[in-house]
Amino acid sequence: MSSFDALIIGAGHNGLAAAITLQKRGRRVLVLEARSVAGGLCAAREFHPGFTAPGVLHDTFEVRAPLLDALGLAQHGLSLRDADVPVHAPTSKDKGFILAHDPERSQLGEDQAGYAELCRVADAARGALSTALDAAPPPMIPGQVSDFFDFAKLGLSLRALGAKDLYGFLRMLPMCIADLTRDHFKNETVMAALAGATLLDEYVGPWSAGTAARWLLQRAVSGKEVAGGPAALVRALKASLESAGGSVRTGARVAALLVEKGQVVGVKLEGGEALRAGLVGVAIAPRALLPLLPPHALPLNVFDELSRVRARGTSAKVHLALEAPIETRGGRHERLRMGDSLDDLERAFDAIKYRQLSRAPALDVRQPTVADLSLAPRDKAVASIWVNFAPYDVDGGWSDDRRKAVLDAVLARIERYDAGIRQKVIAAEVLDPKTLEAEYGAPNGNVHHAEMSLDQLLFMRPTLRLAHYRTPVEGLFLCGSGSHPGGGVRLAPGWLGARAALEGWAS
Amino acid sequence: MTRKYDAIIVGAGHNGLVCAAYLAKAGKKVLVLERRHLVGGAAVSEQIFPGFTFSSCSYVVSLLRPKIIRDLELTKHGLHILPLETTFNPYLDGTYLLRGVDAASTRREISKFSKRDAEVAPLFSQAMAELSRLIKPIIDSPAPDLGSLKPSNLFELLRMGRILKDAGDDWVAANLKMMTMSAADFLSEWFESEKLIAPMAASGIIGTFLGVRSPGTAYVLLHHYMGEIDGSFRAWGLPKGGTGSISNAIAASARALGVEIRTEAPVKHVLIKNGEAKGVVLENGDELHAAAVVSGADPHRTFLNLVGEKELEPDFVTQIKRFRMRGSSGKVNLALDRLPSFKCLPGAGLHLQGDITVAPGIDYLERAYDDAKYGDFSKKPFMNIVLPSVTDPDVAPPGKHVMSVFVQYAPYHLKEGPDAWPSKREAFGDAVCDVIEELAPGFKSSILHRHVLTPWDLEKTYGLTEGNIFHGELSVEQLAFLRPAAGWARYRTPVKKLWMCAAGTHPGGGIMGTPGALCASMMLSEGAA
Amino acid sequence: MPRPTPFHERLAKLNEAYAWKEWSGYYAACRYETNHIYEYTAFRRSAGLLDVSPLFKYEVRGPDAARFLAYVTVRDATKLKVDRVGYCCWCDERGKIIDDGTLTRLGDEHFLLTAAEPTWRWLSHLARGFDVKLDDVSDRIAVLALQGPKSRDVLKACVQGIDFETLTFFGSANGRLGAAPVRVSRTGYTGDLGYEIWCDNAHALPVFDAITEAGRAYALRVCGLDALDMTRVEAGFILLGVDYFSAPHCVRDERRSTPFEVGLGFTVQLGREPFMGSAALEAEKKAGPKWELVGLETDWEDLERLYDAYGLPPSLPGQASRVAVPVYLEGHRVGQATSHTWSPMLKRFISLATVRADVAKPGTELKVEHTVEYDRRAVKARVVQKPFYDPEHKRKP
Repeated sequence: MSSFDALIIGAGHNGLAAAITLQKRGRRVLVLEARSVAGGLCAAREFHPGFTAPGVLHDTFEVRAPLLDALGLAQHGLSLRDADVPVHAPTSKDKGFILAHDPERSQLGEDQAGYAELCRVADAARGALSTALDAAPPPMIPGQVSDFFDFAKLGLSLRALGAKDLYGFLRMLPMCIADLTRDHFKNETVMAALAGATLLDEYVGPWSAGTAARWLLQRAVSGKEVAGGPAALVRALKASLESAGGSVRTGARVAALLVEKGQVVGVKLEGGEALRAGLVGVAIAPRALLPLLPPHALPLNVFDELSRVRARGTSAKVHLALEAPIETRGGRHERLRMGDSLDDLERAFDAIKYRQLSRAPALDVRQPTVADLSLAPRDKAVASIWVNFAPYDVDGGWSDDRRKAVLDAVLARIERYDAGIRQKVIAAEVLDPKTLEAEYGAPNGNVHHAEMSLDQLLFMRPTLRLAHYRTPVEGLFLCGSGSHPGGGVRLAPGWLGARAALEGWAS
Repeated sequence: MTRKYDAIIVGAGHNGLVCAAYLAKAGKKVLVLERRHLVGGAAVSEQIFPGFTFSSCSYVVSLLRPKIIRDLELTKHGLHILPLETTFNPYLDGTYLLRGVDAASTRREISKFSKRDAEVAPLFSQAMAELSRLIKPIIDSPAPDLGSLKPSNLFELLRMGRILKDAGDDWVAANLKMMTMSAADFLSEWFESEKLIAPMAASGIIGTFLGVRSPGTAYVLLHHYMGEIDGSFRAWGLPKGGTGSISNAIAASARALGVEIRTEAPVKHVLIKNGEAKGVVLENGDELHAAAVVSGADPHRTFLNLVGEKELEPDFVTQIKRFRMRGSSGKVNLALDRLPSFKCLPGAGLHLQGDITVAPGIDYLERAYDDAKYGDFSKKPFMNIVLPSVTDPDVAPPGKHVMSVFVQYAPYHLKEGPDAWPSKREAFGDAVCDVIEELAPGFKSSILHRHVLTPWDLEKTYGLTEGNIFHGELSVEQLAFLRPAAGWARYRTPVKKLWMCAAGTHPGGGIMGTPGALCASMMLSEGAA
Repeated sequence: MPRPTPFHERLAKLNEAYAWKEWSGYYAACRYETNHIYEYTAFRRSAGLLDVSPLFKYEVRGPDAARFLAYVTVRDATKLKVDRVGYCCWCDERGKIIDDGTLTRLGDEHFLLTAAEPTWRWLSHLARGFDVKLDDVSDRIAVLALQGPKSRDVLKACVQGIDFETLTFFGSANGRLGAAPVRVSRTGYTGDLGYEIWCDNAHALPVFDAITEAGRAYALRVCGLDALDMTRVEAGFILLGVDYFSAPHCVRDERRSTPFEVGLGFTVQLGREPFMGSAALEAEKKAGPKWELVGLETDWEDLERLYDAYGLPPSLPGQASRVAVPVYLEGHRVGQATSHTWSPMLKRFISLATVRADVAKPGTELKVEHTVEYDRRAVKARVVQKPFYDPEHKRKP
């Protein structure tokens, strides 16, 4: 018999988290995955025989320890690393810099004090911010007494900063990261390394307003990373789900949602098979919901808002199988950010506005083999590289030539700091935004499912009327990266979405 | 002679004059000191070439507060605002868009490019007007003081909270979107045709160092609709006689109220004793004393020149130094032998009597911005053009014309440094004229005189630091309670008895008069003068 | 600047009063002589010809055409037969009325919808998921309205291919006027026997000439909007922008109305597949509307008494008026009267008014504001059934 209480569309990290949450509350859950393996953007990807990238997404510092406990992942082999992994910002002339979460563990030369001061102000608000990000988004305008209480708590914790820091913090929020870093630092490479954290799949450059807030929010939730990366996380998630009685079905693409009298009653798979359930969670991109629903199932304003959600893919992913890890004058590092200056990053961004590839892209590099030797044959290495920027709508379209151009630009960039890189390359794979869309369902290649711009966060994510996970179609709810608190490897959207679904549609 | 005044105002820009007039209205003895030979600051009319009157810098008025017009009886003192109803956008491909003649023809015009957009446009204007209306109390009142628990301040905060609550989720969401989105993205949510989006988006970048794709520019679009918030009281248009006539009207009103205005009286610095302003010292050494001193200059000039770092706390100095000026615009004023004839709509006509905007596409505007980001003026700039002589024949000899061109971008900080501007001035002027020539062949041959103002010129001649026309960028982190510095957004300064009354304070720049009026009102309520 | 309609060349020559207004971006005649009473008389006693080309017109074609229109409008278009016309309105999601117009079924999968305001975007947006093709023919089709007791006779004399005896009220048929194919619908805005004649722009002038030629024998006159306004008030027909307002263009929610509140409840067909606004309309129907659109008849004796107090005979404008005035009951405002006219046919002063539902019963005595010698006073008025004027020959085959 195949009747379920809940179906989750998409077995990415959020879909699995949502499934576990429901399963642990006694619902029979089936997760439907279109690909042949579970895990979505977190799944391990053997891109060349013997060489595995532990996920297309490669950072896990935004996953929150309390959630890992709530989902029972420690029992399924998950462990956190001891400390955050610092970022190395190489230069062509000297040892470069080390940017760690903790100023004391950083090596920033003359900018050491400036970084400490910046972190002091940012961290003063950390408590308030991380509370906001851990909980469901507050209603925009407090309605009930309890709402006021929550809002006031947030306000009070901000006021505890003291007038000077409060203003300093408020002033930071709307700024661009370029102005923020220029206020505190002198060295352009240091500034670029800090700014580089805010660029993934956002239609922004360092001169775009709102990037400072992005950095602040990221910093507020940064914690220890998962040992084994995203792939280890989704392995544990799947194991936890299955041990709780839930299941995942791969090779099952949903073609339509079945709606009767304003309620979701199940799904229809490609091929015609129908599955019935009273709860359906959407862990894929919110915009992907539209073609699955009957044309007028959503109220017009909800439909309109959802159609306008911005999700522009601006980054490409490159995987390199290497004879030896990338090594700069600063040594061998697990995380690197490459970009010489803020203008360097901004010029890279300029290109995509005109639908071109960046000639000198900014890179966010991870070498997971530095910590996990199982990902490549002995002594060899894997490099996992996010390339900023590469537009989804590149002039002339994506082709092998274009992908090769991206690879060339990436190698040219790395070459500035590791002259022997080209000789080290055994094999390479380029995932352009179109491929990310086709293979992983990332809308327009945007791996966050919706841009993380300030107007698409919190009670506006993905839209004003869908920010609280439950859609107007009873039983249908959102639980993916396109919902609060957003994309990247977090788990919170899945967990919060499932809890919202459990609360019901009565109101 | 050291006659004591109740207040000395440094700078006879329109805000300084408004402040003076309101103080005098309350019975105070006020002196205004102006460095140049004429009053007005950046709202001046000058006969740079005999027979032709240019609004050298600002050239239209849009938000001059009705209350100020009434209180100071400005129409009695010569203020007359002429209509500026239409917007004409010529494109490089030979098409054009002419809006504002009447509702039906605007719909037909937009339908040339998108029928859908044509029907959405009135709904958009209505939504914007509604948003602006609810923001009106914010621009007409002092900025809230977040750190203060004073009852009057809490009341203001509550009132704003009430506005939020009554307005509903949709309104708050719309405001959030406007404050965070780029003009191009925001408009793309409503419209589909780039020919409509580009010129509309362009109004989001005026006076900023941002591009149409930069987050935060959607908010500036509202200014365009703020004119509607005053309902039938239309305060926007082309001042007869140029924007100098506004300043002259305010000055005349001030004089009638007893204000003494001295031109060619440059102030060297504020006289400060024991952290308190006692008066000013002129360039020629004269000392003038007053119970209060008000600066009509921008925050950098005020604190770094007129006051001096020595008199200020280092933290405050840092904040002021971080207050971004970064001028991004230039002005080209032209005396013409005849009207330009646009290739896409040849000859004279309704399209020449309003606003002409050259914003032929989003990429065009963005490339113009990119040039500036890296320290160069835009090779193909964005332009906002008016021909005041079409409606106001007194600004030019019979049959001749004046053309006023506002240009972006012209970054103060050229990659060679700002002092390279004089050598680039003509090339900048040429870039402007080349684009107009492309759109209106024969234009160049009609030029009798050309007057180019770069940000460097705006600084040297008109006292605008880094050539920023708003006395400091109007970006969100430099607005309201953060303008010009956190905790100092209500016209007072860290120096006792020294006040600020111009665009570097809330609610910012443009010819509004509000900073001047609110400063005066704050001074009077605190018994400061 | 307004533009001429396809008939303008003829109408401009006839407009000796030079009285024009702007209607949806076109020149539209207010009246052709300085006194429009002859035009009104033509509408009521012979035949009046009016250019209504400025209406917006949309063709909907495709297998889902009927289903689509049944979704967009409050009417069940699937039940409309070919060659029949249905008067309808359409609403937003909250059941607030956007516009009203006529829906003609030209074929199984072919409809024509008219509207007072541009409606292209709304139709296109709602067409998602329906197999339909939309065409905005507003600027391609010219339309004349021929209204009055002799209108049938005039058309019989010049139109071939249509049996006017069987063209019933709200019916539509194809015919020819000389060389021009035309469609004729038995519809109109005067509440009288009348027809609308539709043709391509290219045929506009010949069609006009043929009708006016045939009309000579029947005292046909070309009429303007002033005369139309009088007849439409007599017929009890509301006008967008005067008696009600289009929901998206309202700033205040109080200004928006449901069809039930403007007397268009009869167009709303519930109890079928959900359509745009149906949930809200079901709820409204159950709860009952808060407002109703009614006819008001001014008490002439009370009016006389009022003027008498000033030593004046009663003086009313000779034209229909669209100036809204308050309506009172016992000193409290209970609504507003938005269209008024002296009716020569009925010898009464009548108004269309929106009043609170609880005072909308026919026979209720209310008061309407009336200004005499600069004083704002009020006269008694009685709620009456609409239409005020409803001649038998309007509907008789």
